[in-house]
Amino acid sequence: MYISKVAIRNFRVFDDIGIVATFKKGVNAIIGENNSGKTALIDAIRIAFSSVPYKKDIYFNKSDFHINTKGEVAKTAQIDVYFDEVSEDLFEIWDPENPTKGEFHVRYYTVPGKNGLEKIRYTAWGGPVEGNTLSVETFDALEVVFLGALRDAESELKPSRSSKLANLLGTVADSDIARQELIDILIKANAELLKKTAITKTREIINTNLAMIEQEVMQQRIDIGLIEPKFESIASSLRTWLKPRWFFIDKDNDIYTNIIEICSKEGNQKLIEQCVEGVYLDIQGFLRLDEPIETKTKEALTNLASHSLELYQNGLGYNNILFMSAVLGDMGYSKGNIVYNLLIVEEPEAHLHPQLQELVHSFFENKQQPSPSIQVFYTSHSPTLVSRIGIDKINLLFEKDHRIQCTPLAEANLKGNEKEYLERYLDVTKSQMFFAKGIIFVEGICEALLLPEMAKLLSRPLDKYAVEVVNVDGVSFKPFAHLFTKSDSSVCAFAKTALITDDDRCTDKEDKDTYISKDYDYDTDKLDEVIKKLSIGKPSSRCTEICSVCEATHIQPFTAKKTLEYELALSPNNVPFILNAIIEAYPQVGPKLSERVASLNTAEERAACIWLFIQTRNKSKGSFAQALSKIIRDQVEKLAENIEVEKKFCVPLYIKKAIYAVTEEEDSVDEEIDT
Amino acid sequence: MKKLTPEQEAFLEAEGKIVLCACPGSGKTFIVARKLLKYVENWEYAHRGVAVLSFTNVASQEIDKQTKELMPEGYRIEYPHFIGTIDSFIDSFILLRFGYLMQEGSRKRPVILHENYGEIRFYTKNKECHARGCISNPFEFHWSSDGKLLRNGKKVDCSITTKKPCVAFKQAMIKKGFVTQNEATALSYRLLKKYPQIVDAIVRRFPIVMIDEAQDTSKEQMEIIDLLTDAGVKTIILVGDPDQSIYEWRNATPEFFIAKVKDDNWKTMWLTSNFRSSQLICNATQVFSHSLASRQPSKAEGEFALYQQKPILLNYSNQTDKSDIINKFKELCQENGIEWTPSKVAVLTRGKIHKGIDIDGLWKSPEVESLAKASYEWYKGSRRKAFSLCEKVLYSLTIGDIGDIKHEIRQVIENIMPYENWRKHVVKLLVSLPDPNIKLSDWVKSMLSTITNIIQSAEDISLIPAISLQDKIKIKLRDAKNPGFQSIPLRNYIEKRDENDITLSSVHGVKGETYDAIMLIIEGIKGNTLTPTMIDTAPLDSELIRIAYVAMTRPRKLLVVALPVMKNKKSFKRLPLDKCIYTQI
Repeated sequence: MYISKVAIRNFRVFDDIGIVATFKKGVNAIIGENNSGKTALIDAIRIAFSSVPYKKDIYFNKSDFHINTKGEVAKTAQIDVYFDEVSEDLFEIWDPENPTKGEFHVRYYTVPGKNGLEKIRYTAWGGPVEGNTLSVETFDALEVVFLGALRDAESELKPSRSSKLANLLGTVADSDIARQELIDILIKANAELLKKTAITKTREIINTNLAMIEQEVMQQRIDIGLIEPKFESIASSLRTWLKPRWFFIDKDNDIYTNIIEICSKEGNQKLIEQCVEGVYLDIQGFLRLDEPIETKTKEALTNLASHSLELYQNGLGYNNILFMSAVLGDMGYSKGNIVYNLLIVEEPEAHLHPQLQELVHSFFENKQQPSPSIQVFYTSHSPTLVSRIGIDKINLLFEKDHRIQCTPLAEANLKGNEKEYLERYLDVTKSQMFFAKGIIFVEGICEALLLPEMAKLLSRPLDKYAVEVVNVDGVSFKPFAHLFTKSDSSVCAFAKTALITDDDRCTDKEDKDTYISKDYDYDTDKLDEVIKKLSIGKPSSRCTEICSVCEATHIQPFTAKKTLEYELALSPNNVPFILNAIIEAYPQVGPKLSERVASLNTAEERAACIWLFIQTRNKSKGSFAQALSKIIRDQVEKLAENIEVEKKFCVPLYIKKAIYAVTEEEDSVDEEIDT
Repeated sequence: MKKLTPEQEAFLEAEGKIVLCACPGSGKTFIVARKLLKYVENWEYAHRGVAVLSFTNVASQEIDKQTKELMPEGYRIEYPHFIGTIDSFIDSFILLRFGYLMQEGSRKRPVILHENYGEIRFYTKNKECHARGCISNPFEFHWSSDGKLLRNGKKVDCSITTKKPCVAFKQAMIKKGFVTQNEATALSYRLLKKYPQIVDAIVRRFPIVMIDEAQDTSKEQMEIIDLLTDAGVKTIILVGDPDQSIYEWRNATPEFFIAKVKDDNWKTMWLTSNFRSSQLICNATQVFSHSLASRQPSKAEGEFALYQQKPILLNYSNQTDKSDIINKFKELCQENGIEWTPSKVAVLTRGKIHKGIDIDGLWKSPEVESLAKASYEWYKGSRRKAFSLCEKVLYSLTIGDIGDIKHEIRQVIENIMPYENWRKHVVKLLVSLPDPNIKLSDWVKSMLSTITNIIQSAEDISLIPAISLQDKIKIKLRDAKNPGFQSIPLRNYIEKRDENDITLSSVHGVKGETYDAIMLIIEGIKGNTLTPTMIDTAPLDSELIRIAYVAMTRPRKLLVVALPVMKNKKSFKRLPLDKCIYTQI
């Protein structure tokens, strides 16, 4: 059983139209930039599951009603929760017309109260029509555990009646016999303790004083011990701590020799790490060795190993992992009345380094597999986690047209194997795009390197505008474009999006009138022919296809006449910069190009010449781009310090338009004429 | 714990399709409670349970009470199990929950109407519909389980052959989600036929079903039981006594129960010991039992098994006043040392305890009828019932149609005013309800001025403009058969049972109950009612004999049957001298 869909209306940032988030079995992510409603979505789910008088882990407040852009406060808020593969035990939420499905709904509303104050009321119902009430037992069957962003895993794990450890122990020790065993140990221990004078004395002092106060009125006496010998007391006093692995053994320690002796044997070396003053020893590993260890050594080490770290000495990250282990451990046990478990974690990446994040993700994935009734939802800002999760398990929240919207990527119009394809390709870097306000897709390393610098030159630094440059070099762009449309072919625009591509004209071999031979280099004598063909050439079929893909989306394509390098070189201001960069990248042949360029008369000739040079040496385009980006950066820095620059680097118009499109528009863009 | 008879032991162990024939006083509620408890103690499912269904709230409360007594302090039967009436089971697990499936377009949870507050308005210009009184009695129409429309259980018999207005009207009602209680079961059955997955879900939810008083099961109810049985319910138990099939609200017939007794797929078991009555009473009443006809009389095993008082046949003349008969009964009770209190002694009649109150169309609106009931409940019965009745009346007079209420009155009211404020109005109405002991005409006058006053003096409620209180708080003015009906106290019209001195009730009202002494007064002389002749001649499987049998099997110690003296009727075959004492006043 799993939640397949949650619809929310008029709750906090979600308006009257609301959002619909869809979920899959197992682990699901809710992502989005800050303030895009991730917490609201999660709180709505928690509130829906708390809609029973006694099960209040979170309350609905008056301030939770949505306030629209006109400042009007919504009168009702509704949360709809849909399940698939619904447990046959949940008669009250079952939908007989779709027998594998179920649903329940909660509506909050206000009613007039005394003194004109409004009171909040709610009504909850199961199945598709309103009015079929839900029993407490149905809610009891649905278990939700929440680990918030500002969580305090330490206190959740601290000994207490409701601590996660107590829950887990209660679940594991579910028979009276198992519980009695624990109690017996405690009774024995308490009895042992009471044999000691210090304890009995303590007890007597209290009892004497008690007697004096009560003056025989109540005749109460106290007993003293570790904890009350009851199962609840044992469970609520259970604590956890971490065993450190490496312990330092000083050279002067008398067990040192014995340790070195044993560890120098074949296969045992990895148990120690030597340093000048002594040795770091993996005590647990050492004690497990099948070697004759001296009793003295054994005792000393056992003693040392009993020192351990209290929770507060642990890092926050580890405590979080401990918490999640305890909760998922508990959920993994089947409990008669519980048919569905949901763990909600806000930002599991908090305090965890990326590799550990990946491990946590795998842990979630592995943990739910044997128990199909466990679902995990987490919110995240972590590209690491997002890159690990399946695309159809991501709900993307974003603000557009002054509304918070939600796009389940499961609904993206991905065809065939595009999903698998994207999942393979969505690495950490590309996953960043889901957190961006603007995205520029580029198709090459040059664009990827130069774009951020050119944006700075235009006073549109991409980081300030939360724009991500996504290089889809060498891959089909189509699956990415499909991420931005839904299968019902409506447009999904979670960010401003532009595409930069070369129009690659004059590459059609069939078209003899425009085809430019790949054999031409910078020193060709056919420049006239090249320029003529470039002026009449049509964009390549690849380019037109990409542009038509964009038509169905809101992605705006911007194309270079021929290539980026050609467009760059068309600007007379840029030529010296380009030549410098080329010389840096190609110290041998670069100067020759400079000579050739110097001999040419028109801008077109120079641009064509430079383009031919780079096209022929396509493989090392990257180092050229790096050199050029450094040159631009230097200029940006100079400008920032108000240092006069002789020639300003000119950003090609199509790039300028693309950057403006994902940052903010400027009226004059179209009128500016590239010189 | 009480030692069980072998019959009871055998029943405790039985599983499958069981019919249990339980004679009067055989402790069937006790053994049903024991069996329920046996299941519950070893129950391993969290969301599946045992359903124990009865016909009346009183009966299901009794099962609840008895199981509670058998359980440790503080425990009671709860989720996943269900104890309730068969109607509430069908309503809450079938019709109300899934009835939306019968509707088209925007679906909603159906509303089951118990009294018509004007939600059901049947309009047509057709003269025949008016002439036959169909228009003014839309509540008499109900669907049958085979999808036909009936009026009071009979085929709608009129000259309109195509597109009957009543059929169109009732179809529209279903689409709007309005259902009457008398068709709830039939509609539920049709729903289950159309959606067998619901039957499966219910069987899963309740793998064990026990039905008490199963002799009163109607055709539609038995059809639903059959669906559950066919869907593989693990154990289904019908507990009943065909001889005690009397049902107040419709023509009772134990035929559906008897069919199961005869069905080889069902195992029939018996409880024949009588823990209530003396052996002498058992011996005398056996002759009225159809199912025991070929058997021995029940064996008395209770505390008073050996009580040596033969049943008394008391002849009275047509000059004898009813109070004289009761005084004679009082003497007999004293002789037997029986305390003269409502819990020990009951006087039973076949029909209602008050006479001359069958006035056709007495109440001119559901509001005035509800207020009449409220007056009685407030002073004599349940104050909670009175509150709920008054709340509905006030709502329909000041806020709107009850039929427009989607869910609960409370929710709608809270949208208008704080509920505390509303409750104050209802309470004000309650405390100023006229005394039900005053005569009907005075009660109506007083009621009208009271409610007018309350609505006028309230600041935050007002009468719906289209409503006239004079038209609502109104009763019939003339009745040819009962000219003095307005002088009868209001109380007599409502009261079904009087518990001032002793219990005065109809036979139907004491089903399942036990008293030390019972007097059955046979009032009829001729016709198809309980008469001295009928006592001797009516077939054993007729309802009249079953009514007499139920009455005569109530007492522990003393049974008195009071009969009018008949010239040609000196002795009774079925109440012979060797088993009874004949006496007269």
